[in-house]
Amino acid sequence: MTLAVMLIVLLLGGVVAWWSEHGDKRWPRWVALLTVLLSLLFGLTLWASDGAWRSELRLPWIPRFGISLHLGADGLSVPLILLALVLGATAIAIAWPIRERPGFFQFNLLWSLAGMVGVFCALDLFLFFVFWEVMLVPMYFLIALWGHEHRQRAGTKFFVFTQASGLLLLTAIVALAFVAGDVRGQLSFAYRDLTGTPLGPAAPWLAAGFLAAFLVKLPAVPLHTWLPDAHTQAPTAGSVLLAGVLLKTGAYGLLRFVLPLFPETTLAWAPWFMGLGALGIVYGAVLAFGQSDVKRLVAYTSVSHMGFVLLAVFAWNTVAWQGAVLQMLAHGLATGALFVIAGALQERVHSRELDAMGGLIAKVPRLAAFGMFFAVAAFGLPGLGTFIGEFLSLLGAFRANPVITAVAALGMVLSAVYATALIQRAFHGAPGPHVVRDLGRRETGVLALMAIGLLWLGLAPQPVFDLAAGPLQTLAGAGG
Amino acid sequence: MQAEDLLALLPITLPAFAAVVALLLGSFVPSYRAMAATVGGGLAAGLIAIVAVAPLAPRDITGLITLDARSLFFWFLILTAALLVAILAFSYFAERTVRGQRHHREFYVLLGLATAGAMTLAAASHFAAVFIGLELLSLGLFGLLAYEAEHGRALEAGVKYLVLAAVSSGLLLFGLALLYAATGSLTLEGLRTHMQAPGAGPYLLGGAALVLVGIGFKMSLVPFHMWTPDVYEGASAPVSAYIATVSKTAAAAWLLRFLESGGVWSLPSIPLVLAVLAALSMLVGNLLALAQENVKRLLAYSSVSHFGYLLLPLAAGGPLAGEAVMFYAAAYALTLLAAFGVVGVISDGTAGEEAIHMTAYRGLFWRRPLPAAVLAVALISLAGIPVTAGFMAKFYVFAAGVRGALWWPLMILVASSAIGLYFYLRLLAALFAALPAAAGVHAPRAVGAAAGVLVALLVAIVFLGVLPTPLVEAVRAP
Repeated sequence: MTLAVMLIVLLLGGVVAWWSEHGDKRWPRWVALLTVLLSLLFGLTLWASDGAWRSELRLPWIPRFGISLHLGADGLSVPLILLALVLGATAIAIAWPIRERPGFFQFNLLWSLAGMVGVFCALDLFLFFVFWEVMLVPMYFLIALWGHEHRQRAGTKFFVFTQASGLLLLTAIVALAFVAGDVRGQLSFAYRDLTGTPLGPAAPWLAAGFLAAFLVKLPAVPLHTWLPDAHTQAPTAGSVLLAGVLLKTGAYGLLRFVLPLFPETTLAWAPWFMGLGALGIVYGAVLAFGQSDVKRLVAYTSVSHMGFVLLAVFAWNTVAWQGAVLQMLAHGLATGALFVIAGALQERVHSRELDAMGGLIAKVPRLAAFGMFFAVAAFGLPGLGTFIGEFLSLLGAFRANPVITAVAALGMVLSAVYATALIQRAFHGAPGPHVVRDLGRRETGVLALMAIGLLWLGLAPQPVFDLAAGPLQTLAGAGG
Repeated sequence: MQAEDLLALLPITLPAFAAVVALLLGSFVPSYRAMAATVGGGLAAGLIAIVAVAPLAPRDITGLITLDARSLFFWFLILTAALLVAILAFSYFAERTVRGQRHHREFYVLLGLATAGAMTLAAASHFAAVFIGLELLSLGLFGLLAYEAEHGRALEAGVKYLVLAAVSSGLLLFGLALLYAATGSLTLEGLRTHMQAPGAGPYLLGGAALVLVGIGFKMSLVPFHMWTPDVYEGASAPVSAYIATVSKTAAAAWLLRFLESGGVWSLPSIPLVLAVLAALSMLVGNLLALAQENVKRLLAYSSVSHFGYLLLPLAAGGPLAGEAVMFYAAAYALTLLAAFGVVGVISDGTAGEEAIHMTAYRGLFWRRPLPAAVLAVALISLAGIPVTAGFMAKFYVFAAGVRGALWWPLMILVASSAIGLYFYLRLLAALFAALPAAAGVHAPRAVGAAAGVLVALLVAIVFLGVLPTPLVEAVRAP
């Protein structure tokens, strides 16, 4: 029940936030914040509860096709749901001063968040697809209405990429249900009915459909071209959610659906996708170094970091998968925070160009300190969550394929290059003409909380490992 | 003909009768309201009659018309759409003058007759009934299209439709004649029995192909779609809504009957031809819509592509095809009625010109939230995004296509949907964009009845997207 209540709270909260605009322009943000905090409370009770599948709920929906409203969260879903809600609260706090159509803004934010939470807990493939799309439309509005100069183009590109690959996913889901339905004698879209059904020669084609959607979302090179545009043009709150949560839905889809549904196929294809992951790590890092737009730079680091996740997912062992889960959480916090910093810089300098910045450390010491902290988090300083994530990913991947892993490890060096370049160009050097103010209390608080989260993931990651251990063991069993 | 046959025909005869009564009434009581109420009442009575005659199905009426679950479903859909168009038109014309006066009486007579024709076509099991239905529908449409004849565009639309409809009717008739020559029968039943014999002669194949062309024109499938944008643009918004929903639904309903009851599916190469037509319509419709700045032309091209989607299950065949077509037709009708309803509502005004340019929709949400919200949901539904009827409809198309293993048309569907998103999103973002600085455009409030229709359509589109089970069960093969 908790999950259903959580989703309803988010959806209703969105409507109330929009409606409350009529009272006072400041009300929507309070409504939104309270909604997300309330959902977070529910999320924490999920964490505290026991059992493989927490808060499972199954109601018939479209019996004609064997579709049901089936929700449930396991140790893989719970951390990601919590991440989504934490970053949701961050996004609201960052967008606190928004004055332009605030009700509709918060509505989109909350509905997108509801879609993301839904994606992480849907146990019916049709329902999963519905949530998959529900998170997109509001996100499109966030980009296209509140974004920067090329918002319309970036929003459309984002939507067309994800929707086209999403329809391939839908084709694959429907085909999978029919193929499995013919085997089992009964049509069903339920996750548990579909896993373990022998699919015969159709499996590679079906797997390709699923992979198309998840690799675009992750994103894997060469399907990443929507990402730099969308992340750069989105408002800060949108970038935080995009980088922090949306990308993780792709990785989650791989772990939740692609591996267990098509174990033989993915095992056979594993080296290719590990190679794609390594390519993404190096390519993203090199391109990040070449950017002069601070948001674009951070966007390309996401390509690089999600490459580690792809590498680890296809390494097919629990060590790597644990690394992938931790990498997702840590990357969510670190990149989310970097986008907050990029947004703060843009707000102060009125430009995203690194050349327009420089020497800011003297004027904004707090912003520079946080910038330093999250930049080193991005290159995986030991003691921070990103280090554990990348280290375990590489450790696990090394067992599967030492050569590709050796290439991927180069990414850790390259990340140090772009992170130090970012710090150097934005905060050091000759000071510019800008008169800027330092971080306010609201921004400082948000960034401090994210920093604490990263430290916690880096110093005491065991609770996350314990949480994810169960589902990952089951997954390892599926691969034989 | 028995008394029960007459009873079973009531859903068709009541609107037709109401149209005739309205015509007579017009000679004595020159009241616009009275005529609108008469025809509207006839359409509503037809809807009630459907409930009453439902227990009589399945039944063959005089060998011309089949009363079965499918006829009832399409009758219900056509009558609902026609009734909603009548209400939208009432509000639309209430603020406008035609030929210098405010009497739009003949409009409703034509509406009633065309609707009776559409219903006849949807349930026709005999070629004579097909032709009667088609011609009655077309004749009504000529008048409706050119109704605001003082606008050059309306006249152009009417004449264009007249010429092309005559040609396509001729082709259809020739096709039916060839089928008769091949089978010696004028009924779908006779056609079906003949189909089961091995070896399809050239008459049979040629006849079926010509019938497809004739119906393809009515459904505005590529390459028979050329008239669509001009006609949609020229006609007044309620008439565009009518031709996009009632006329096309009736044609699709009969095509389904022709393929299934007539056994035409079993002809060699017909499924392939259907798949090619579907693929062309999806792709060309969406590509041509890309460059449109005119919302009515955009919706016209969008409707071309949507009938490509609808044709895909027909190409796939199998038991899911009928369900998919019925669901798609219903979802599409609701959505397009909503879209054209909004065009009509925000065009209400004394200026005479309709709000058809994209700029008229910029920031509409902040000026007139209700029509803008309805249009937004309609666009999301047209784009096939979840929690709307359009998504469930597209799901049906996917299901039927996958079942029939039509992989390449499905891939074209995916590609063309992605192309289509581009222009749907453009209009959608415009609705919510910040108001232009000079937002002094005169825009009256939604007229009561039309606003009611829009709200009802909005609720229906979202309801069918969230809880589709009632409609899913209704279209399920009996």
